[in-house]
Amino acid sequence: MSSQRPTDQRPTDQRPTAARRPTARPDATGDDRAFEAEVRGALHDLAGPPAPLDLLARVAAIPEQEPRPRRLALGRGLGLGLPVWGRALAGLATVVAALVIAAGLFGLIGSLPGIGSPATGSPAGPSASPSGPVAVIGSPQPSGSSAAPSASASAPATATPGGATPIPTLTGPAGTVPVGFSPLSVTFVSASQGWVLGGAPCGDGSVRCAVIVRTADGGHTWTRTPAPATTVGQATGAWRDGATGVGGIRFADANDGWLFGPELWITHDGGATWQSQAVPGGSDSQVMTLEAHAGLVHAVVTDGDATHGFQVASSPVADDAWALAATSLRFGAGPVPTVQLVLSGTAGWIVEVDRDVTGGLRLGAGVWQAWRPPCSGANGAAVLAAYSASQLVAACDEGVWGPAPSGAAAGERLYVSSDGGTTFTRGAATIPLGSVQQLAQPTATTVVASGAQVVRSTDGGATWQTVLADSPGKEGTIYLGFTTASQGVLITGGRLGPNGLLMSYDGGRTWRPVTF
Amino acid sequence: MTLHGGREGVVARLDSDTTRARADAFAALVDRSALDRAYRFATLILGDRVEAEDATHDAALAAWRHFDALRDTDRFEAWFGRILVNVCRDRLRARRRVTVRTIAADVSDEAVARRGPRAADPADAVARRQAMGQALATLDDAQREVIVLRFFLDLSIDQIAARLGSRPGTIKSRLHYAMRQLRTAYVGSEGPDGGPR
Repeated sequence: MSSQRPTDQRPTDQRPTAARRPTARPDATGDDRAFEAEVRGALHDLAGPPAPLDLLARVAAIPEQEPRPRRLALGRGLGLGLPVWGRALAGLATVVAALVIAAGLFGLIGSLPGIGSPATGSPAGPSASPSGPVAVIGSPQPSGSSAAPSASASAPATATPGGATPIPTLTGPAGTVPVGFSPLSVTFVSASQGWVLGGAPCGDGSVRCAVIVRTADGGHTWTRTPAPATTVGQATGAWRDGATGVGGIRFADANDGWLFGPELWITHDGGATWQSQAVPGGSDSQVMTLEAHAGLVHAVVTDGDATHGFQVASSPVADDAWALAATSLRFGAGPVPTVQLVLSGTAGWIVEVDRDVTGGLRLGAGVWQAWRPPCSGANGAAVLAAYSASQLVAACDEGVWGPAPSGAAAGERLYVSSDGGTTFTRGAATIPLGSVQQLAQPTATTVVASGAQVVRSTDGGATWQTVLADSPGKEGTIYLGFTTASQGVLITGGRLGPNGLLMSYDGGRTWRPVTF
Repeated sequence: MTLHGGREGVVARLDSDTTRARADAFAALVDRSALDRAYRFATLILGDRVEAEDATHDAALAAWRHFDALRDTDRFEAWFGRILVNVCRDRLRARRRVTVRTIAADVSDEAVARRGPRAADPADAVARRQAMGQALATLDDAQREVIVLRFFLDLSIDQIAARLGSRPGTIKSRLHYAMRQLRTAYVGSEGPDGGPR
């Protein structure tokens, strides 16, 4: 190895010192048993400490919370299934019971006094999400399109919409993109005008505050615009009790935009001011995903209750008049139900994945109706993309939870529809990605897929070329989309960042990183 | 849910003796050692201690919900292990990305001392563990899964196959390639002077 690196180019302080140099590491030709022992020892170190006490208490409380088997959404945690009126009292009672039971079961009585956090640290902690039916003005930022975001180092923490835990505000020079900014979601309303939601460390550094930057020249230059006082990075794509913050941004036009997941924030002045809005569907509802097109905004929401499943709320983009669709999606058999929403023209599709594809809805003539999505029998997840109201594609991860169709080998395959999703044709070729995380269809025959790499097909999925081999990095990609046939945008990384944003101006053939 | 005095002091009332017996049996199996093992396993698979905590809780919740399906308590560990593997897989898939976070190794003096003579030099141990953590991060989910099952839980090939619902031959092959990849990455982290890059 050293022959490939004749000189160490790293700064002196980054080079390993002699004292840190391993003295007897097995090499590629060394003894297998020695290496296995090395692996074994490393795993035990990396596995870290034993289970924390609050986890023991949470598990010990399970039989008390759910005396009989009952199918409920993942993450309901404490207060599970209790009537609304009793949740506050039961929450306290359950904490007491959980701790006492844990002490009894695990002999931890002596160590329990050290546990002081509410709800024993479970995800079911105090909710800070919008809880009432009335929208709350929540933007602490100066109004006006030319106003700089709040950036006072001495600014007090801002109360969340529910009046719960204060959200710290960002410090630093006004108007500049803060250090550590990491993009999380992007939206374009034209080839020139777009916004990126990201996060930057704030407060004591343990959370990331929402930061929005805007471009008016197709992504070549970016300026920071006002953002509401909320955090980013908690969204996981699944309902979680007490989750707060936002993970996505969408604009329908130059004025009307939304921050979402799990909270919902709305602007009607191009992002100069933001208002928090109660999520349609009830006080526990959270926004899973949201898209806007053709004058309407559609949000998939859920309150985590399996009997309600995923509901679709729609509103004219300028009115905030949300109405729930009559048809909803029941949760599947897996423990982490997630949904994807795709719009094109006046058509729309929702596919639910809960281990494998478990259901779908389709928007036609202004009504969401039950739809059998592609890959329903493929025993794996699916990702959709649409070029038009009639032409859409799906990447199906076949053979993950059972056999692939027709006895084929497991792998990602492209399904193509030219009738708006009524029928699909399964491609013979496999997409050369271990897992397709994002999919886009910039033209009728061009498809771009991303995961650990980015691949592109110009013949409807018959053949694929790798266009980005390693740039997405270890965590893959979290967004891929095209504004025009030539202009696309890609976010690499993961929910926790640090992420990168790349743009293509040649239909996905080449990608260049964006500097904010 | 009504609170009243109970066996261990204050406990929440359960609805029937049958449910109480079920809860007692559950608690006896899902004990501290089982949860420690599950939590540390999930930490290795997910690379995130907070998420590992949630995954362990979710697995325990799923086990409780399906507890009546467990006919033979002697098979609990394998049964619960399968549930945990599935929960971790679902979480990885829900992310829709390959999670390869490098988690910090326990490199305290006590931990180093526990490792014995092969890591007598604490600084050496730190370098080794960091290098191995980085090497593990290069594996894909399936490879890391078999490595952790084999060398952390010390399961046999057949036991891993049963837990993952695969054939032993498949597991053997996957383990072989995973070890090869791991070793390549580990050795590849060796710097020009023999230290990790």
